[in-house]
Amino acid sequence: MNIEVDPASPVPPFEQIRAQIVDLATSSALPVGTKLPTIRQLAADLGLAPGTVGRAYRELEAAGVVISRVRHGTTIAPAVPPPKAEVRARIVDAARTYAVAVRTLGLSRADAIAAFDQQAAELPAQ
Amino acid sequence: MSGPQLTFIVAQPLLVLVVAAILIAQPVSVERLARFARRHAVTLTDENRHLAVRYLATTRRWRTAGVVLGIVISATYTWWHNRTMDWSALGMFAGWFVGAIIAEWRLSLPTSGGRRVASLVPRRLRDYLGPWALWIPIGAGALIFGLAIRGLAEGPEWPLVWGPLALVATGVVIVGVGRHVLNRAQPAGSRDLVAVDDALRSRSLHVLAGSAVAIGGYLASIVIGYLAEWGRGFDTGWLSWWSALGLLVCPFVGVAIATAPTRPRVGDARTSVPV
Repeated sequence: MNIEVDPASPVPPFEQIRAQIVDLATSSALPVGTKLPTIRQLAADLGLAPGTVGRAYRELEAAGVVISRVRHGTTIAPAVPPPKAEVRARIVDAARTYAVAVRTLGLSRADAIAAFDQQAAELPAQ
Repeated sequence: MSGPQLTFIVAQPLLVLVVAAILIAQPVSVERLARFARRHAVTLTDENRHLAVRYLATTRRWRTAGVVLGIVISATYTWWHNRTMDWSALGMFAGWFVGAIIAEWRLSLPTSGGRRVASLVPRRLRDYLGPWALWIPIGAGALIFGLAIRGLAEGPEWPLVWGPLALVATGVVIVGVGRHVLNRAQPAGSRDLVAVDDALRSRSLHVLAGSAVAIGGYLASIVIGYLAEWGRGFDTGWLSWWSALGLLVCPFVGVAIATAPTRPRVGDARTSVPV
């Protein structure tokens, strides 16, 4: 399981790290309880300052994605289901974004549904 | 002092320095690389060979320098105290270990390319070292502290204070260098590249564990030897025997641990190759 940082990206490195770990955790590619590397190890491997990785870890912890404990390190936290209203708002938002993309590209409804089904099938099992 | 004596005194350190310079200047041989690959069960390719060469060259340079320094210091010490030109094997071993620790600290391996890729698999000490390599230094530490505390209960003695303090200082240095080795950047590349990087990390940690055993055991032997001379409720004959055995055996055990064939990392670490 790897993450990559693009130094040329306008997105700050800490945000790139945060977003990739969120993606891996939400897709269960990083299961609950998986231990993450230490801040120093990840910083050394990515050629970043420890503070940059530390900030990403702090933001992940604040968002409830990871748990940091002294002597236990940082592990992926159990997913806390968001309130129903928030779930509905988020899915409506995501569906709207997808619908806009489908219309912009000029795809048919069947193509859009097929693409969605394909992506859903490729996700790891929960 | 006679002429031949003076010549011998000057020639001995010069000879050591010349031999050391020759050893340091020599390139890493193909045989040595093959032995490294065999010991660590890795395949050396055009992509990863430079890492092994850099490691072997750097560590040899510092270890040889350490041995030379150990010989020169021990020879100077004996000259200062006894007016005889002699050097101790203990000084040579101590120099080797000090040089090895400095080499591990200073070693910087190139991480290929400009890509910033990292594996999310943590690198842990127990993935590289067997339990014995962890527990022998801890056991030696516990022994020295136990004996020192018991000795201090009989009366305040300076060697019973500096012995454990020296052990703590050594432990702090070795643990610090060990963490540095664990956090050394992993190169981004093929499976072979990561395999050699893992083998080098394992080798480094074994060298540090061996150093901890040798230095910790040596300090424990000194404290035991002191208690043997001191008496005060201690079985002096038994302690003298253990002290002598410790002084003799610990450096060899340390070298055996430092140069033992290492095992590959366990778990899924090897499969998480940054590509």
